[in-house]
Amino acid sequence: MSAALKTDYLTINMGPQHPSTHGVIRFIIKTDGEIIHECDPDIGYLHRGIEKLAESVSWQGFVPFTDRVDYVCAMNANLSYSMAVEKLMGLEIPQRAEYIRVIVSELNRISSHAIAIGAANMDMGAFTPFVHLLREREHINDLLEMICGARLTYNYICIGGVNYDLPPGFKEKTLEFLDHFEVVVEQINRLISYNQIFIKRFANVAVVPPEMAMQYNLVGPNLRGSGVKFDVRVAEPYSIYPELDFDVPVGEGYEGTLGDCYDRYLVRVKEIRESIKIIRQCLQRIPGGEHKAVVKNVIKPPKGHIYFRTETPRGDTGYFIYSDGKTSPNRLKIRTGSFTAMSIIPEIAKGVFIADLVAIIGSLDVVAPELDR
Amino acid sequence: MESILLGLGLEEATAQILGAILKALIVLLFFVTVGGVLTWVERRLSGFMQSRLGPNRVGPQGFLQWIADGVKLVFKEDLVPDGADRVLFRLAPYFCLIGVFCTLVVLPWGSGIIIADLNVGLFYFISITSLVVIGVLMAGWSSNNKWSLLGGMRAAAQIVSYEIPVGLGLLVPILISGTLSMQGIMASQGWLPWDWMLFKSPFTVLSFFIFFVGSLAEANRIPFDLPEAESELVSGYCTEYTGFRYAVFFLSEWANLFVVGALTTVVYLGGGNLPGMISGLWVVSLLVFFLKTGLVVFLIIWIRWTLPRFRIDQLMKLSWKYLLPAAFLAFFGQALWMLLTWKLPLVQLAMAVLIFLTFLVLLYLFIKRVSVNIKEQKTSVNSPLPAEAGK
Amino acid sequence: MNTIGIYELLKEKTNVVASFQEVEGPTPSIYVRSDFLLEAMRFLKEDEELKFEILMNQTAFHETEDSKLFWHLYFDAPKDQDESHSHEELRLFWHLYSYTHYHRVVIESSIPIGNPVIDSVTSIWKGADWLERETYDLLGIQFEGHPDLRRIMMPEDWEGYPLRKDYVNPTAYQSIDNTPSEITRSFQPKGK
Repeated sequence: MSAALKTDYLTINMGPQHPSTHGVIRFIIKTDGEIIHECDPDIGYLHRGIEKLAESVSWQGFVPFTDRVDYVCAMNANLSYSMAVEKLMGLEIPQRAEYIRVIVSELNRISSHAIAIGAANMDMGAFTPFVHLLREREHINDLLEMICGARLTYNYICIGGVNYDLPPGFKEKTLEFLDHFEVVVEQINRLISYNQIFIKRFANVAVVPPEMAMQYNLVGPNLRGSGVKFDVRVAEPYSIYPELDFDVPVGEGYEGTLGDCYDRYLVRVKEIRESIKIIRQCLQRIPGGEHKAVVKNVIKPPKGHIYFRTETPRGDTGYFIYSDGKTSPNRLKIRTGSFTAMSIIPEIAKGVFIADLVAIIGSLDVVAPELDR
Repeated sequence: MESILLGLGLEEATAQILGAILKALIVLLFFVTVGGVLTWVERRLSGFMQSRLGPNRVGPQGFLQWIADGVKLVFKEDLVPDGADRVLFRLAPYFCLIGVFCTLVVLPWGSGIIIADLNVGLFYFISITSLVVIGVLMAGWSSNNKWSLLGGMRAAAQIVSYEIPVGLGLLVPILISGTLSMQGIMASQGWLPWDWMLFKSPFTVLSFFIFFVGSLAEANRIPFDLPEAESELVSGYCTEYTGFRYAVFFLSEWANLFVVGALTTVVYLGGGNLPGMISGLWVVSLLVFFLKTGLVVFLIIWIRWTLPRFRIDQLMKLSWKYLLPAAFLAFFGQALWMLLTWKLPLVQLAMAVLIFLTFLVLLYLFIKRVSVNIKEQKTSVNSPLPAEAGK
Repeated sequence: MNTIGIYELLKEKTNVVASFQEVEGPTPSIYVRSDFLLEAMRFLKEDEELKFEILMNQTAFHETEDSKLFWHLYFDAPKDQDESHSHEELRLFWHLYSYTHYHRVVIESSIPIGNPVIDSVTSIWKGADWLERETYDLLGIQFEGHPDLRRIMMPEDWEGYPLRKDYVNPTAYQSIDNTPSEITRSFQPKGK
């Protein structure tokens, strides 16, 4: 009987247009019924050649491009690039600008994590938390619109500081939002994070032990979900983070094995609370003064190379810049969190269900434009 | 119906045939309307739950949205994918339609209002809904799409698995009422809540739970909507369908929602039973029936927009490892309970009232918790700026 | 540990041909000759005092004559003694980090553009897999020992390596016309 029946793996093309791939990513999966035997991610559908473009635009002119590298947390991308160039130039920026930068990037971190959590919920079939979190993100977008007039790609943080000072009333509005949002986070937790079906779907799925996470260089919440207590804001402090008081949440195997999807998910939830804490402190301490250092229109950083990384919602985003002392970078490479997170998928998506692959993508919080650049 | 036709001076055979056709027409129209209206209800309700509006442009409160959608779908091109099994592909939606449509024959809308009071009503109901599986499987297989195939296979496995606990769970009401006829089951209950099948004993509560969960699974609703899990299988078995055939799938899905609600009402919630003094008023009976059905449908919609989805192995585990033993437990427990309290109707009544009161207490606690949540949610976030407030 | 300490340790414990690059820029680095790369990397990862478990980043760029920065410093790289050697080369960077000791180091190396072959470090860090694929895709560096060296960003039938300085934009891809329009050309500098 078994000799007569030839069984074969079913090769399925998941993507590039698929509801749960969070953008244009393609997975070529070989399945045995519902169980994935092999998964090969195919990326590059959103490759826009930003690194090539960087070689022909001015140093300041590249800031809007960083918005497009990761549009879910554009402020953090702005910050990474601006700080890398400032380090290269040895530029000092005013204290007020540092505070504003931290406030906006933490606000953006909240909105990015809200999307990550909501999308993970939606992949699991719970649509309502996603919409609720989008509503909260709207409030953050309103706040950021007050600051810079844009809602998605801000181009707000620039080399030497920030483009505009805080508008009047921003502090009050932000505090009001934080009061509101703290409650909402707990409600979302009660609605979905502590839901037994949700926990069953996420716990013990796609376990990434700490050693594997280091081998593949997972970064940010994904790394901390595996129990490695590492945060660039603490380990390699930049800006005003050393003065602030906040915790680094790590995965502890909350509902199962250490480093499973649920750990990664819950680390994000906890990071939202930490971000709220940081913003409150910053709003309290923000000094007066200039919001931007004096920077020439045409800058020529000295010859040299730098690899600078900051903590963005999807892990640390590193900017490698090689300057040959001209008006545009000679080489610029962006190492993003999604890229390394994606490279681990072939390893962990073996012997799991198709539905689990969706959970893995959701818990790793992959954003396609950041992946391909 | 026949008597009216006879009164018009028609022969008896003609009247029978004409009456049957008229009844079928009424049911068909009702089916389409109910399916359509429920799509609107679900969309508005989900909008309310997700703090957005939902369709509100066509007609008052967007009520006519379902007609607009239907018209749009009917005018769309009817595509058959290349390499599909054309016959099966075209046939599949109608199996789903018929499977749901035929159940309406035995639904008692109120005391005495039923199209055909078959003496095997409940049995007929369970067996005819199995036709839906065949339709879904045909759709999944014939589409020549791997996602559809997976969806169809999931549907077959799921619906067949959940039919067993549902059937066993329904044995408990049958045990109590002693009949398979829908009217008989309804008549065995009273209009007071503790006369309802649901509250009669702890085992009926268990049986209700099994039946309700199983029905959700058979109706492919979240948390059991794996056959069309949009984030996993794109759209499952109906990925390749367009236009009218897609509309038929959706119509049967929402009509199935109504059917589940109606069956729950009839079997567990007392149907359209009225107090003795107004028992003749069939309009009131119909209204009571629709009110209860509406509540159950609301509950199902509420669950859908709250819970995430199971995974296929968890789904199977739930059915075979938990629901099936629980169904056996309910059946034997109820049999034992009936034997023990055979001569003691007062104990039975006391137990029913006790369960009902427990239910009320739980409901009160739930409402209290929800009201606290709503109050917390109302923390203001959009107060005007200090500068604007002065204007 | 800072870069100079790491360099001295590397020199002391292994016989890797390396040099310390101290420049006016913010980042000092260690230059390792390409044929000693694997040995140096393995040492950096496994030495108890160093423990570089993480390959943060791997990248490269195409260095032309005019962008040459400090090639004169590669004193013990044999090819530099060869006067006829073209100074166009591909420079590679590895950024390493240690979660045990919280220190970082930049390793760099260079290979001639005519023969862009270097050892792959995937056997040391699995995360190097995709990073090296990207470098191969965009700069055409062949990593020897890489398990699956395919293009990652660009389509598989793409010709040329976009991030090389001598790369010319193709005028067509799979019969899709890509010649710049009149307006685009008017913005381009003369002579290009």
